Amino acid sequence: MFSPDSVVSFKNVSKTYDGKTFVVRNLNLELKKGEFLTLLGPSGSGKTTTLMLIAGFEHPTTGLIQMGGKVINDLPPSRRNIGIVFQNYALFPHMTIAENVAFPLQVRRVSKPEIQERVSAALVKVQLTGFAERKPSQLSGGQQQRVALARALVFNPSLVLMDEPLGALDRRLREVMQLEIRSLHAALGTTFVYVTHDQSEALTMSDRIAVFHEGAVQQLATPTDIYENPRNGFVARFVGESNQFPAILRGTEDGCAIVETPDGVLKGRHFLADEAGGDQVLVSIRPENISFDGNAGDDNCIGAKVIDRIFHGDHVQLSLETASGIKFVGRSSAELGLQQDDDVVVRIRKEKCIIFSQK
Amino acid sequence: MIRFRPASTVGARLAFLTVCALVLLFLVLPVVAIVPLSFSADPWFTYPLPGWSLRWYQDLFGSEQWRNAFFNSLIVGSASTVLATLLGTLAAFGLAFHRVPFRSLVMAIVICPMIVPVVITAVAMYFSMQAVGLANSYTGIILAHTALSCPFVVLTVMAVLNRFDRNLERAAASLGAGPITVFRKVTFPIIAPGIVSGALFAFFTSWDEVIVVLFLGAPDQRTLPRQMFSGIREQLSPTIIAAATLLIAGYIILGIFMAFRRDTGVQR
Repeated sequence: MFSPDSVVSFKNVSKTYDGKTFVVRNLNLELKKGEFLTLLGPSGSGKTTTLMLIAGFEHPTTGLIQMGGKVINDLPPSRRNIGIVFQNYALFPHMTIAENVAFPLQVRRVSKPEIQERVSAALVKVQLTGFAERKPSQLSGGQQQRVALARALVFNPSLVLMDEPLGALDRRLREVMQLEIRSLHAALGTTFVYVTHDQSEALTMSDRIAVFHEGAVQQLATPTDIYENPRNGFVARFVGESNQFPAILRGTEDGCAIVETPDGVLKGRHFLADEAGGDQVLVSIRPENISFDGNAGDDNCIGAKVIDRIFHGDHVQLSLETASGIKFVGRSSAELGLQQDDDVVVRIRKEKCIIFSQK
Repeated sequence: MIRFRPASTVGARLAFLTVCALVLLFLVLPVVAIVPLSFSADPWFTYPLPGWSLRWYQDLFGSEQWRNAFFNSLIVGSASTVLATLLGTLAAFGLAFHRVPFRSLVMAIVICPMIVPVVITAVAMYFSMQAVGLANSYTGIILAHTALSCPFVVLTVMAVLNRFDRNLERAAASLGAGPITVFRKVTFPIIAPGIVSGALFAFFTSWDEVIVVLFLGAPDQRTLPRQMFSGIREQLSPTIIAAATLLIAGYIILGIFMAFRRDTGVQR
């Protein structure tokens, strides 16, 4: 089925080099027109391979990749009309900035005056007027990054791919560039696919995030949804921070799972498959969802001891340990005045306590 | 701006410069020492010079043998350079960019002519060229010199290819360039300096080569080194020194030209 607002779609795509280990396994993914999609995952999770499959530098072992309704499995990269920004920028060192940006127009045999016009317009867009005659080596990392962006956008590609484009920049510059890329995307309305292993980058920039792990998409959703409703333990761990510890499932009640830990019973939302009472499951709680106003004996309240306290300026990070030895991390405001060796009773609201399958 | 330097640093720097100067002198002195002999009035290699004259240069330019030798060297040198550059560059691409079975073995074979003593190569060349009827011919010498200079081209071009960022090719392809355009507009311009220096190495390998020519060349194919060699053996005269002086002058001019090009030329 071909839907009109899909730019590229993956149908059961797998990629293997040796026939045994799959870099990408059974991938189904649809890029929607105009969206900013981020492929997020640790290294080796298959996100870059997926990008290379879209670009045409890799070819699927099985499955179909479609673009505008046509199968493009073996279409060479030069005929896909996709702009790519590489991690190390890949600017042509022997050409000036203007020649770099003009390159895609020249190979498309655009007329000279039009090339000139479009190149200077592109350089204005990335705030690099006046740099046209310089060589890439004379520019800073951030400026080179902008040239790479201008070059990837100047030929009005139907899709722009970015492979960890900000990886080589320092933190402050990275944050500036994140906003710039974000606003370029908003201004152009072109579909962007962005690869990163930095979860905060993914959360701030994307319309949708696809979390990759072991060659498969674990969850594809909006940043809010990924953060608030992670579908499994991996997503909860990888995006944001999570305290995770095992527990025994006792049953479900009103859509809530009830689990037993050595320190008491917890109720929480669950994403369980076919687990039954007595099976081991995984409890996942974000540090900011732990509050310190619990009463011993109340539902979802557990006693713990503060074993370490780290001051972070806007908050204090507390390392906690229960009587049975479960360790977890919580956050409080500095005003609460909790100190090392204090005994506390923490409360975890049941909608913020999430129960996953063990796997 | 005034810069202060501790005394010990100045001393160390002085010692360093002295050693450098001595080493350079050691390298250059024997060559420089023979140059005045080419302007000697007498045919004997003695200092102090008995008198100045240009007679050996007159001899050199007047002699048909020397002129032929010069053109022979030029023909053999340029033909083998073209062949070696072409073959060596192709080999370097294969070895650097593609998965080659038994790669280190192939590499060893390619580099072979550089490592095997030239006399052995020359004897082997003689017998094999004889067998196919190419001994005593330009073709034979050109092919032999091509084999000798190929390794230099392979090594210099591989050196630039190993530093070449293949993402540039991917970038160019993604921007709409087909494989030929990618090579013409991106790969070649970036690696061209490596190919040029490989070609220069190849040319001077042939230009300097005497042993293979001794084995393979008929009197018709006397090259400059061959002419000098027989000059030294048969009638030792300062004409050889005059020829050598001119060659040295040529090398110096070329060296200055290349240094200048590197300083002002396109920089990465």
